[in-house]
Amino acid sequence: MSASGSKAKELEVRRIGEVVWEISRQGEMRVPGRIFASEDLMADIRSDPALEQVANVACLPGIVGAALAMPDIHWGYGFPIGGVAAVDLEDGVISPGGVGYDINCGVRLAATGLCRQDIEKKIEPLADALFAAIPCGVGAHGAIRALSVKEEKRLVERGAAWAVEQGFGDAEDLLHAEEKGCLAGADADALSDTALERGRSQVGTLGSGNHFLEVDVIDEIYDREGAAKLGLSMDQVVVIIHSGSRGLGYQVCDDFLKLMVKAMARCGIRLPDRQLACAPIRSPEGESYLAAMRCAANYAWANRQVMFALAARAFEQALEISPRDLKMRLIYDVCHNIAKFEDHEIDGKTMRVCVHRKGATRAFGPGHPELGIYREMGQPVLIPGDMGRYSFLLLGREEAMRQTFGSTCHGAGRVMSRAQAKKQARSIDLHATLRERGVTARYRGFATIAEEMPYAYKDVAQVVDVMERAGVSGKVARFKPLAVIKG
Amino acid sequence: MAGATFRQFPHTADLGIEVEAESRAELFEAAGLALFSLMVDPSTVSAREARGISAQGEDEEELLRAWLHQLLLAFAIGGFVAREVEVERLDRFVVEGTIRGEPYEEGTHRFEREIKGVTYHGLRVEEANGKWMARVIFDV
Repeated sequence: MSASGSKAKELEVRRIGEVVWEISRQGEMRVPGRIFASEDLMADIRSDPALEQVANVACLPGIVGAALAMPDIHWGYGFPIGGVAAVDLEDGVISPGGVGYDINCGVRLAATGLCRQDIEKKIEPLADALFAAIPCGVGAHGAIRALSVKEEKRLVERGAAWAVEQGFGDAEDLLHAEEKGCLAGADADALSDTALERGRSQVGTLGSGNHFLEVDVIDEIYDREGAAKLGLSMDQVVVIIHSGSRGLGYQVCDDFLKLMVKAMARCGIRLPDRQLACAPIRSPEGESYLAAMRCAANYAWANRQVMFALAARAFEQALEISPRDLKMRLIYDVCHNIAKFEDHEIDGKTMRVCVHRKGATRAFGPGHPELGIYREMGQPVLIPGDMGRYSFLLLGREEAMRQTFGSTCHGAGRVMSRAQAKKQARSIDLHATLRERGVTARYRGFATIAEEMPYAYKDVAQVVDVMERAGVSGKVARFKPLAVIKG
Repeated sequence: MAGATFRQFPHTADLGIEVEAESRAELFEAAGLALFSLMVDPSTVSAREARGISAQGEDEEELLRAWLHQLLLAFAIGGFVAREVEVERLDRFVVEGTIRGEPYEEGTHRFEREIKGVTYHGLRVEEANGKWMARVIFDV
């Protein structure tokens, strides 16, 4: 296992389609690895240990089809970031590392009734109001009062609906979220006291790292019909929130990794990286993890729902307008780090599998019964780029069901390490650099902002184009950031 | 901790540190201090309060990881930031120590970034030629 930072050992990778590459089965791999990438992106990917991580994921017991990697793949811990793996429910395993520390890290996109001119001259006070309304949640200070354990347990079993009950947003919002903002099968008793303690005062907080809240405008429309159906038009102001399950989710991952390292020894499972620690889905450890993971997923949905409502209030206050003028409404909320039971066709047979998405987004195509109000048009998928460039709205296509277990990319993907990005930041004026790109930034973490500068990321346009060429998801609109709030 | 040092090594998505020390106890101290310095600039912290920290682990790597996780919780739950980390007892499976610092305050302390977790990925603790070395990757 190379966690050394050195170039991955040479794996045989061959091109099998215009934008599809395959690592053939070798060593302990149970299935091949399949990477979606253009030639240019593949050059970056080859120089990163991520490919070896794809091969490691292919070793998981019960994995079916192929270990997949989206074009934003990069070196993670255990699973690569941008990895998708489906495992058989009956003889497969669940891996907390295949979901990650930030369970249901995800993004939500909200449209407003405002256009560029309405906010252009007020962008500074608007950024200040948003920055004040939404803390990053470090040092035990939350956006709302600390919860009692009883209330927190209700929250993790109800998800976004809990937030709506507390007066954050309204019931209509729930129709505009993956799983309606609540995964069934969450059991608060599967959470440790430490997990509950970490979550108590972090509801409505952003976190740091790549998390953000952005105010954007639509600067390009690719699919007129899709945009019109979603009520989106040029120059319209939208809000994007990227955050997850905060300390509660991180603790769930930590608690169960420890437990599964032990369970693996008992079940005789050997894997090339301890971070891939896993247990059979149908084992006490597996079932308990799933119950806890679903709680964390629900926490994340409640968290994003609260921030969405806090952001709306900040807009109203800064612009001195009423909710009726603001007309903020949710388009969709998707998760990036999750394991879910879904039906997929494998070798011509429909199978119930557990799909791990680690830095990948569900992108169900039109007609899928899970999509509710979006059943006819396909699932909206928001792909955030770096904070200086642009983000994209896509729609899932039927081909996703055939090629990627209904999944697509999740972001730009890093090309530069955090250490390198921070070093480069020393020689430039970060604010001036962002201002040149027309972005007003507010941040709390001094290292965060340096590590998250646009040059540390791939161009997200290249990433979404690969998935469009593969027929998995199609572009609808592009968003250009005007203000960015970071933790 | 006279001879203890740490440096960041490049990792694409997260943060990796490599720590070197003269003894095992110093290694634990230096790794702990490295973790705190990734979260909050220690030069902005005053060592005016103490907190006891302990951890257990079934092998060398797990013990270090568990120790770092407890230090992470001191900040994540306790809101405490440290500029000194001292190991007082260290045997095969248990570590106990004291951290000195103060409660985190926005504006007073220079916040760097949140650390989500101490991963198992590429985790190593080794002794060679009387020196101790550890590699740890943190999820950011």
